[in-house]
Amino acid sequence: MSPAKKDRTRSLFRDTDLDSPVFTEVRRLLQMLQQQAVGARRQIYMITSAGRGEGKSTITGLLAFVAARIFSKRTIVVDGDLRQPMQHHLMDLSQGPGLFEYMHGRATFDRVARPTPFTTLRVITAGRVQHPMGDAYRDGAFRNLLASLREECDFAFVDSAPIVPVVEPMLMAEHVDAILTVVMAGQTSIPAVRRLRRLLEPLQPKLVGTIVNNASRALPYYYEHRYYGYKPDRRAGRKVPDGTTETSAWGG
Amino acid sequence: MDIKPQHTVIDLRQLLWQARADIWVIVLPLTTAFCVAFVFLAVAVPQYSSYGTVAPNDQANVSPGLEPLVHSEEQRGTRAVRIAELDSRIHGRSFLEAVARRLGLHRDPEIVRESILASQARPELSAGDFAARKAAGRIAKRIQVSPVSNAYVRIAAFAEDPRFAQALATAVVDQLIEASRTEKLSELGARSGFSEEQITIYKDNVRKAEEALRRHQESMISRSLQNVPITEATLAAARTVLRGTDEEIAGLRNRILAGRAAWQREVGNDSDPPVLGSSRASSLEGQLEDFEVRLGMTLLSGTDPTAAKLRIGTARQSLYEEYQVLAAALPLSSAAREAAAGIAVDRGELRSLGKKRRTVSGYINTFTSTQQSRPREQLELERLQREVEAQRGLLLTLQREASSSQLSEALEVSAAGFRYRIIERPQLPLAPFFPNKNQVLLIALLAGTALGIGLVLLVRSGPVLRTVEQAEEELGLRVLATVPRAAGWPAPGSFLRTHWGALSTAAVIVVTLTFFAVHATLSSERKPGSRARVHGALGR
Repeated sequence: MSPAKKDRTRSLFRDTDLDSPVFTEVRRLLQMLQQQAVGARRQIYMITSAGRGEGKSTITGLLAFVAARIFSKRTIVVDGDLRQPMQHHLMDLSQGPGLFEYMHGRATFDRVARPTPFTTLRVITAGRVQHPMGDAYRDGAFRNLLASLREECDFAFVDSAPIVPVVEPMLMAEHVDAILTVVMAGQTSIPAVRRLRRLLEPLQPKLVGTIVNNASRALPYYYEHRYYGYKPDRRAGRKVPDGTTETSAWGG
Repeated sequence: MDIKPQHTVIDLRQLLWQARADIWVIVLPLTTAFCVAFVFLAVAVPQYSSYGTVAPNDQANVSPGLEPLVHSEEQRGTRAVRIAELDSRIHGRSFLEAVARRLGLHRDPEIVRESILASQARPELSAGDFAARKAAGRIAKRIQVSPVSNAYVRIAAFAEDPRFAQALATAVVDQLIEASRTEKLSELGARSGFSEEQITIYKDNVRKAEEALRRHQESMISRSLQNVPITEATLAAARTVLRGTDEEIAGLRNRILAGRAAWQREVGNDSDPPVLGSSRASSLEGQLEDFEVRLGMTLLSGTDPTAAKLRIGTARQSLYEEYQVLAAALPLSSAAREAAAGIAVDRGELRSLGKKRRTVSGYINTFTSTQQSRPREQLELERLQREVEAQRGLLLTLQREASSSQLSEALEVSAAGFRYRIIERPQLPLAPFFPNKNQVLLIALLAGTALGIGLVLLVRSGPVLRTVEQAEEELGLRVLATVPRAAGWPAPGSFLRTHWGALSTAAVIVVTLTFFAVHATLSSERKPGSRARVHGALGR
């Protein structure tokens, strides 16, 4: 499978519909986070989960996408999962240079914070890890990176590795402003969730809330947007004020 | 107004929603079940069933009179027991061997070959014995006995070949009838000897009963022949005669006492008058007794007693004159001699009246006792008559049975009276009874659905987060958003993990289709096997 073909399956800049239920939920979530951030000075969010494959990378990308595209906020996404990075796929970027290169002094912030088709959205991919994994993460450099982020953006979303099997997320969590957990309905096991809760207990003040992913598959029918039958008028919605036709978020 | 919300126990929409979410967990077992069913239908060897219907007739061939003698309670039994007995009999080794021989299965080349080898390993058994046993073993499980309606028994045979099924069922029915006939004839022969002994016994019983009846009847006749002139109508008259006689006797005794006193005055002492007697006096006294008795009978019959009384008076006068002659010889005064003759006459008349009284009294007693004993005698007579009739009936029935047995034995062809009658002979089956396609598919549908539902319940019973409330409780965090899967985006996880249902179902279908392709190829190349062998064994 060619990289282009593989990337196409998970690109946020293609085949995304701003009227889709996914974006509706993410917009609602971001609206809520924005309201909470006013008094709490929350700027950098870390998204994590108990295990892999629960959708934290996708939700991180969606949050950044909506913050930049809908809310017009200066947004930076950091792929903190050095083992199984995903953000470069979602953002149609190469894997490096990124976080690894920055933490090991091989690249500057401006070089790793790479632009995207949206001017308000930049992405720091995971980078190409060349050291043993135990030595890949540098806490001080990461703290410096977050300091830079606070100056360069309104929102930063760190896509971390799962907390239960890996230690780096706990180290990263020390420096972020807030932590969001992601669980996948119908898949995340309860014992794993309990383990996640115990691990995050020292960071309780930073815990903002949780996001239930895969809602339409596992949750009751009333979590499914189609149940309410409220669909946009396609012909009316195709025209945007500047006269162009909006076919996707990328097209905008 | 306080209106409480009404919640349905089962949310149908939620069930359908869950079914959609777990559709592959249901589809896969269902598809698998149907594929297995189709494979089974393709692989299963069709079984044909042919059956004959017979009617057990073992309770009707003995006359009711001999039923208690011939059939015991245990033998009669219930219908279920009889059918079980028939089933055991048909599945008995000797019966099966006879059926196998009738079909010629013991000459089947394969069985003969195996039997020869087996007999070499077990020299104490011949190859023929082995062949018979093997042939019987092959058909044992192909025969089934079951009740039909309320009186018949169905003997069914199963086989892959419809003609063999029919032949086997026919052989079983024919063997049953033939064995029944043989046993019946044997029983008839045994019963014939049995009847000869019984006939002798019952003839003696009849003779004894008739002798007792004859004696009783003679006794009754002899009693009825006694001359008892008393009837219900004359019983009162007889008693009147008896009372009159008693009064006469009392008067005579007074008169004798008066004559005795006159005698003692004449002779001057307390001596009794002498007893006078002669042969003529005895004869005259006999006549007087006879006349007195006849007078009593005359009074009982209600006829005129004047002539009888006249004869008594004449006889009494003659007797008095005779005693006067005898008293004249006494050396006494004439008055004393007259008194002695008078006393002698009175004594003679007293004896006559005594005889009359005894006679009439005897008649009354005889009549009374006869009247009292008549019902008992009549009952005894009736009992003896019934006894004679019963013994004669048993004897007659026994003689008929003996004749019937001899007749049956002589004919040896009639099925009448045998234990089983053929109601319906086995026919050639037109369609296999196994496998039943509709039944198999229905079972597949039910089993697949049940298995699918069971798997859904099993999957859903696992410790996995399924509701928002559950997530909040376990994490201790507020759920900020419930994000659906992006339309058109692949599901998280590996391809196998996300598409296991469709892949598994497709795999099952592919395997099934592959099997059918291979099976069709092999079937076209397969040569006729077992059926040809069976046909060869049948010689058809």
